[in-house]
Amino acid sequence: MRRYKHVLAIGGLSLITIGSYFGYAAMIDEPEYVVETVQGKATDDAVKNLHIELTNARVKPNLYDIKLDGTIKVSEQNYLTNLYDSIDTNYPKEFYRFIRSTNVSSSEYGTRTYGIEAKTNHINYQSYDEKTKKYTKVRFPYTLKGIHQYEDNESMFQILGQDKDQLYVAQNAYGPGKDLKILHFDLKKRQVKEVPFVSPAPKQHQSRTLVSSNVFGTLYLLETTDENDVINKFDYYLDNGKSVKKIKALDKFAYSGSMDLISDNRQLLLYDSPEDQSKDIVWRIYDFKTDKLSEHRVTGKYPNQFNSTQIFNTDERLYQVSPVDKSQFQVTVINLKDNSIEYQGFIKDKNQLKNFDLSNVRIEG
Amino acid sequence: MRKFMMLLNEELKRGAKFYLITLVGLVVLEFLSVIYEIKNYQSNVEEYMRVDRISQIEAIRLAGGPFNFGDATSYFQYIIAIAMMLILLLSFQVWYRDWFGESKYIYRLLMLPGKRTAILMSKLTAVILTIASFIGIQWVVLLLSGSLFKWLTPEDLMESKRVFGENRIISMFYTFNIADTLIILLVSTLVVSFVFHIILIERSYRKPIAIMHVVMDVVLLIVPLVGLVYFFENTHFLYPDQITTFVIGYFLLYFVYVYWKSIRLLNYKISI
Repeated sequence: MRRYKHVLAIGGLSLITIGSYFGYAAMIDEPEYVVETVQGKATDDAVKNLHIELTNARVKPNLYDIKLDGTIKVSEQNYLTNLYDSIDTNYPKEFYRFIRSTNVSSSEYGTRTYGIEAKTNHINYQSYDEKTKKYTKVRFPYTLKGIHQYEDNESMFQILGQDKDQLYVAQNAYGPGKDLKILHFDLKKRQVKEVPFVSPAPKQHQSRTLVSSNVFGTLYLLETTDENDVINKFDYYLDNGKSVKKIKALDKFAYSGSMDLISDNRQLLLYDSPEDQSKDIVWRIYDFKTDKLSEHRVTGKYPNQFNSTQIFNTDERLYQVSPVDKSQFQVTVINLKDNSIEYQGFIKDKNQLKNFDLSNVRIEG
Repeated sequence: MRKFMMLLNEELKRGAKFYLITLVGLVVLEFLSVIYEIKNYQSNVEEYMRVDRISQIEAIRLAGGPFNFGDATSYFQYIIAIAMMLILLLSFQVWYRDWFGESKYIYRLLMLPGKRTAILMSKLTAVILTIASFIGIQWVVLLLSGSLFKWLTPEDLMESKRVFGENRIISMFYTFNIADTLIILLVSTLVVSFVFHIILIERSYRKPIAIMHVVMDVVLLIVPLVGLVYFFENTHFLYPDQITTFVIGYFLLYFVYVYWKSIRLLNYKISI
């Protein structure tokens, strides 16, 4: 043994010190999450595929993927796993190659990712729905007019709304205002038609942001800025191809937050993360047909936490996940059709460990 | 195995002085830096209170907010960088001391019966053991610094007593994940192996040929890798995650080549 005393000394020192580090790491308390359902069932369609991901970035960076039926998948986050976090892997190979091509304009809308490529005498269209895993590929025999060469073709097309097989797309949405065109893609009939758009191009100190498009027309926000580029006026307009109507009802709603088309594109849902610590979840619905804005409200069991709430809309439902404290999270699912709380529950850590943050909330089958 | 163990012991024995001086020096430097940071912050707050005649809360605000463990260990990143440089230096020293020392120890090593692979492996293991012990000792210093921080910092100046997650650089090294520590050791091994490879080329050939070999090996590492990644990214032939796997695989394969060439150089090219 004396023959190897230096090996034993330095090897032993390494073993003991690194061993104490591993021992310490093993003794760090892990959360023990349980799901407590207050209203509804974890097996309901609305929530059975809901995944809530929690992390603790401060100490042990594990990721807890929690389903409301109590299934918890813990995945270790290390240097290697951090290198493998590309969402592109979820796409079918052909779709991935298509949307990453240089001449393809790609964008996301809801759970779908779109890729559109303008060719001289046709348009190549592909989309992939993350939720249904449906891959669509259509070649439209249509010659586009007024094509601009953008530095990255990302900005060439903007998706303005989809209802089943009907898709509304803006061409040159971010280019010069006069060149904007609204296109209607009929995926079933494989036809593209230009939607009439009669609004004048924005003047100097004005900028136009397209919100949505449907059978009622194209809705956009017109912002006016002063000499210092500070926005001093904003108005919403609906262009139905014959005339342009100012939508006064929407002026009440600040231009922040999300706006999504719902109810077969007939209504616009407006919602935002709560900015106060109230128990209320508020959203507004603008009805294109009646030109009315209605406010809707449900009351949760606990106050919302400012800036930490994740809220999104899909399938005529509003999903809201907010931390009650750093070891307890409130999940609320609202059915927008009847303004009712469809599910409410809590994810609680039995060990009451702090410093856990909402990393992601998603629906995945 | 016996030959390897004996050679390893000899390597560690020959580097013991360097090891001890470096280790004690860095540990003392880290403790002194913690004490300095705490006292400096404390005196800054007192100075603000005395000169500006303001309350302690106001003085803390002027001093950049309450003091935390991240502030106390802000010099650790530089000391860790020094330790890394010293390890790199050690990688050169373990070979060149054998050639340039008074006794020309390398002649004795090369004349030992059996394969010379044991020489390469013993030197590599000696450096890796040094790295592992540095990581371990740094952990202990971190714990003791935490106690020093809690003991020396007045509670009313302290932001929190939390030790972990306050220093970004330290958090990068100590993620409380065994896999991360093993990855750090693996990457260190690859870097040290590459240094050994360059040294063995330098010792095997005349200067212009040696430079040519080094350039060729660097080109072999960089050009195909960059070229293929560029090709994959532009043709979208592989998914990004598959490109990552390819890059990792290429690195590992390259280091198999580095070992193979190093062993060949040691066995057939380097002569007494």
